[in-house]
Amino acid sequence: MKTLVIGVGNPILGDDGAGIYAAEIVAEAVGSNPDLQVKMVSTGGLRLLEEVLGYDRVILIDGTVSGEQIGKIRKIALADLSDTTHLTSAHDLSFSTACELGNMLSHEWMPSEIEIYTIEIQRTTVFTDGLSPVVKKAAHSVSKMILQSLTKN
Amino acid sequence: MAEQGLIKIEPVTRLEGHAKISIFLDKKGDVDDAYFQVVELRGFEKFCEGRPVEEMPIITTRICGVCPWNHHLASAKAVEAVYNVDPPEPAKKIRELGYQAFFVHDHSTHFYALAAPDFILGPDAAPAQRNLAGILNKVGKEIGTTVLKALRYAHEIEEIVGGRAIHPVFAIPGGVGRPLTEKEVQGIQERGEFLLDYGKFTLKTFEETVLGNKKYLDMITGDTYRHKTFYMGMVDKEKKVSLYDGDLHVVSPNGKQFAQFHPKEYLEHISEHVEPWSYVKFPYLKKVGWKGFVDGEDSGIYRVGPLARFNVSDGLTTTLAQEAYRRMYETLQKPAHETLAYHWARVIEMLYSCERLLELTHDPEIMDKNVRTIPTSTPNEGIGAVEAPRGTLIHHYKTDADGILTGVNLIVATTHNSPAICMSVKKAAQKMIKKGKVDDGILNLVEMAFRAYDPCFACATHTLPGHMPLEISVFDSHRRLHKRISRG
Repeated sequence: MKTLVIGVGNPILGDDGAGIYAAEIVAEAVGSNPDLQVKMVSTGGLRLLEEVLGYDRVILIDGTVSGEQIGKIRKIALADLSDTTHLTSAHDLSFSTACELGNMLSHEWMPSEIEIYTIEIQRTTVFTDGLSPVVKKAAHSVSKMILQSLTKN
Repeated sequence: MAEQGLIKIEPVTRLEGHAKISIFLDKKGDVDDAYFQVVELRGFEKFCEGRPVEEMPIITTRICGVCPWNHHLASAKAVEAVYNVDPPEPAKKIRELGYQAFFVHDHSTHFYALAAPDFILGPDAAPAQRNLAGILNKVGKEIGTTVLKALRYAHEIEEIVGGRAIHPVFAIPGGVGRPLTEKEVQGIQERGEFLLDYGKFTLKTFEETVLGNKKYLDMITGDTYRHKTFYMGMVDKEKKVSLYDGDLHVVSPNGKQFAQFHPKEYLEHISEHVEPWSYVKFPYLKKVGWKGFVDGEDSGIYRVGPLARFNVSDGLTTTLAQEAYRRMYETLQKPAHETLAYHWARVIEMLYSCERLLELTHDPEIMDKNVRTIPTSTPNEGIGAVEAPRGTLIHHYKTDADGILTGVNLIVATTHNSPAICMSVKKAAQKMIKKGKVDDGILNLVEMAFRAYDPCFACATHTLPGHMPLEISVFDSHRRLHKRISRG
């Protein structure tokens, strides 16, 4: 099964980089594996769709701003997805809509499984390096969950 | 019907970034004024101070997830200027090859996801249908498969050349990280052949669907979306459109050559005006001066982007695109002042990029091993510029003798266009909104005014896409909020 773990976010916008940080931990742990790729991207919508095409299973990690407690982790399916900070781009389509489009156009190209791990973050408007301690801890937890899931499969 | 004159649209769809339009009505319910406001994320240029300048081609791609390639290349060129080093020609060609693939991708996304719904479905189509899915339902899923395949192929070419598709890593001070192999170039050629057919198909679709429809052609050539401004763009030595390297040319509203300069001289020609109600600055031509949000020969406001590039140049270097350029100026006078003609120029430019990318794969130097000149000078100050899909992009860096940044200034395409965007929004609002009557279709016609510029407020405000998109509010003559229309 061709699997993609993809962290989404902006690494120079503080906690916005949570998804990328978690993906980097996974990348270091899994090393080189022909059936498993780990990517870090700062984009959404159609571009994100292009990244996931051709894989059987996709695990996506991103920060969300939804009013929950900072650091809260959720695992959701694509069907449950409402627009989140970086899975939605006003430039083209939201990720969920992009995936619907992908299924409409080229079902065989689309992953059969898409899992989404989200970490609640506080939106910042100041460019900063690094994550807050709470979100960093959550990112480590998410990466552990994903590595366990990858080992089971 | 607006009771008191506030109309708010939130969010504005199909636009990159976070901004707000406020429309103020007079007592009759007609538009008195309109403001285009952008909320900025703080500190990018300050954030980079103290960092090694060679990090910038990687850091600046994070300004924007939509157009990272132009930042990567403008930044690499600025770093090279800091170190006074010139890459070898094969490296420049490799950079341009990846860049042309990016242009194909970016222009495609804008046309099909943002612009085409207005023209193929109509600006007053229901919002739920006025999108890419609506296009597919109307014209057939085959077109969608073609577009998706083209985006994927462009994406793959970017990955081959750039190391990564979305945030390239290949440009380093003095050149690129490695040469291209024969197998890689063959792979790009195969994809390039498909993209060339796709580029021709897209232009044909535009010509038949938009130019072949009198209503849309009247909209393009009509007064609502027309401003007589100056134009700026990059050209090569033969004065043909150049996206990667060249001098900047400026033409006046009457088409006369106004200025020609190397990008490193930009501060002698461009200044920035500040308004208290927006974080985006408003550049203008210094030698003309800031006269407010007005167009004409006496106003220093200028525009950049595909239409501006066409207006300042003598054409394009590739055959099919040049022919389309010629046909465009048979319909429109040169310089073309019609804002909606940006879409037309964009589609032609995409065809140019398809042709040019294939051309580069056959260039004898494209697999040359000489792809880097090692910098040896003491770093100091440097300016690098490229044409981004949306217009001229300038990166300006100052460093100490160890190459640590002491100052950063970025002028992005959408910033150059911000005064014109304000004018376009206001004019469209004044023409469309009468006696307080506003519906979704009318508001979309106002949105079309700025959508033509393909603005990227992620870049203009140094942020990343995904935040709350644009909202439009309309206020009455007493500045009370009247109506809110939400989308998305």
